[in-house]
Amino acid sequence: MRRLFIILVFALLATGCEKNSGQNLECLVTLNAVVQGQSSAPVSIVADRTLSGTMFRNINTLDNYNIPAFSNGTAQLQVLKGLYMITFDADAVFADGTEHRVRAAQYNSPEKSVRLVDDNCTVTLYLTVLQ
Amino acid sequence: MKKFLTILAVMLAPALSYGQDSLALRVAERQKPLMAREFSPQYTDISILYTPWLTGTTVQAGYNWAKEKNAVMTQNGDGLSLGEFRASSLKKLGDRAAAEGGVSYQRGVKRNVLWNSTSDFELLYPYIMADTVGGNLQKEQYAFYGRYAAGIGSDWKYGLSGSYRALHEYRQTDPRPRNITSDLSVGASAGRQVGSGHVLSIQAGYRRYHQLQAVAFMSPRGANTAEFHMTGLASDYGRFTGTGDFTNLRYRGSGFSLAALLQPHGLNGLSAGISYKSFKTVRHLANQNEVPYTELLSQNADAFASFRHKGETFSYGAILKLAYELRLGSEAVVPAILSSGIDDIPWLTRYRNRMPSASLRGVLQWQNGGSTWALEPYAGAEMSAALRKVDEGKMTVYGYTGGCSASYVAVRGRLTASIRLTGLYTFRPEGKVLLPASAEPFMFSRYIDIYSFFTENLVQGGLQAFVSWSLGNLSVFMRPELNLRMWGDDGRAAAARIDIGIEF
Repeated sequence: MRRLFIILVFALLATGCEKNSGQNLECLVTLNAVVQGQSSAPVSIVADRTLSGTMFRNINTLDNYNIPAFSNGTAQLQVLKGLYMITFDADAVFADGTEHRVRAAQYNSPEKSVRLVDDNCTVTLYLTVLQ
Repeated sequence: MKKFLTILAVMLAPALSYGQDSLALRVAERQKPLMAREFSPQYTDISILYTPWLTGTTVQAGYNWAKEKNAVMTQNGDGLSLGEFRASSLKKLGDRAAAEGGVSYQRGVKRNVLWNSTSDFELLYPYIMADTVGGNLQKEQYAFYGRYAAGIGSDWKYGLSGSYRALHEYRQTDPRPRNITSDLSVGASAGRQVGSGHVLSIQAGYRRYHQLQAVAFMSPRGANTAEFHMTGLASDYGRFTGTGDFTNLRYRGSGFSLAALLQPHGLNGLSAGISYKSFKTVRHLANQNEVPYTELLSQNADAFASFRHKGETFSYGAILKLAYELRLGSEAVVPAILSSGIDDIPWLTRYRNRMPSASLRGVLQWQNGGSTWALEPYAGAEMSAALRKVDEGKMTVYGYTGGCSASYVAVRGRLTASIRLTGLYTFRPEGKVLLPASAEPFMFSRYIDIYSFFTENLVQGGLQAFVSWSLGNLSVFMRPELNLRMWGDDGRAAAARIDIGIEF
């Protein structure tokens, strides 16, 4: 009887312990941009946010994140762990001063979404030159 | 209904043979505040061996009515019209055993249920499905329970119990929820004499829950709202919002409970108990490969300590209760294609609600011949701190309640009558609220309304009466009840209930 009583006391104390209380819910995403047909990464890439097709969207919650500016082909942002559609048109400036319109369409539908469920994730985006 | 009446007849049969000599005494004693079950919580089945004044059989029909003006918690509606039938029987089987059983049937309508299409809202929130139109919801519920406890040898006791509830709620205009719920619990307990006057008992229980929910839209003019898969604090699972593919849900729940109870053999003395319950419910998309997408873990810990002293003329008692509820909600990273990959779903624990509470109730009771007066002072405090991680949604509210009940019980020949008046005031100071910026504006304003309600002081008043007329081995009773609540500038709510029945 005494043992059972002790088990009950421990069960009560367990109420104070929260499952997954230390769980990291966010993923630090590093985006690496590779422009097809170009030997070096652009100095800067700035997504065109005026387009409705520009999105970094969680396919379950439908929360949207702003796509950060890329510097030397790399950008970082922190998002809720999940599956994401990443699609945008952007203006890319190269080291020789040339400017091109580029498009990221690799993850442009829920079925093609990228899985970002680790604490740190790296995603390589292959950009197509539009003009 | 035929099954229900058969079970009722089987249950009542043994009660009809029960000795009737103490009927009038039992009826009168049960009305006295010191005898209320809340002064001796029955944490284990073995407690039915020590309930001297609660034995007997009651069969009653009742009607519940409620109406709220400017209702805020509309998930349960702003009105109620519900008929009810109840029967229960507790019988001592000699000196060493007791059995208790009961059945109930409810049929009625909850009026203007809004922001909730799911049954058992209190059990399942925040993971419910909701819409912006709502409407009246038809309700039909059957419930059964039974308990048995007995002694083995001179020191040991054991008990067994089971209960089952079946609930059907539906609406016949769009949006049309049809929710079918079954809820089964079983328990087993063991106890032993400690010292000369107390019994220490423990109980383990298991609960199994299932709700199948389907919301249909049939108007030829199209849907008048969408169904939102709520995730707490004005957030929702946006992907599944709609009117067709994702409106069939299944809630599967299971859990266990442990409890310990120390109680005296008689009325006088100290009682104490602790209990713990853990209950997990997983919500599935029923017609989408049964994909699980939310999981709610509710944990409840309760403890109480009480004492009672019943004297010839002056009796008194008090009970201190402490409770803590923790709700943890996890949401799945559901794959894009629902027909594959569901075995490898990561879960994110995003919702948390901590709800501690404490209360102290006393009773002072005077008896003079056939008249008994009683006063019951009450003080309590409660808090709810809900949090939604990453979105940074928060809502923290507090309530401090004080008040008193006064009651009078009169026994005059064949007549027993009682009246009880209750007044409570709840001071609810400013709390904290922060809602996710991503919340839809109409959800945002809805939750601000809820927060406002929980930060407005509340006044409650209640009137309960009881009249019983003894007809030899049978007594006929009527129990009307009226409760009023007022908050803020124009928040008003009234609830009334009347039961008519027989005891034997």
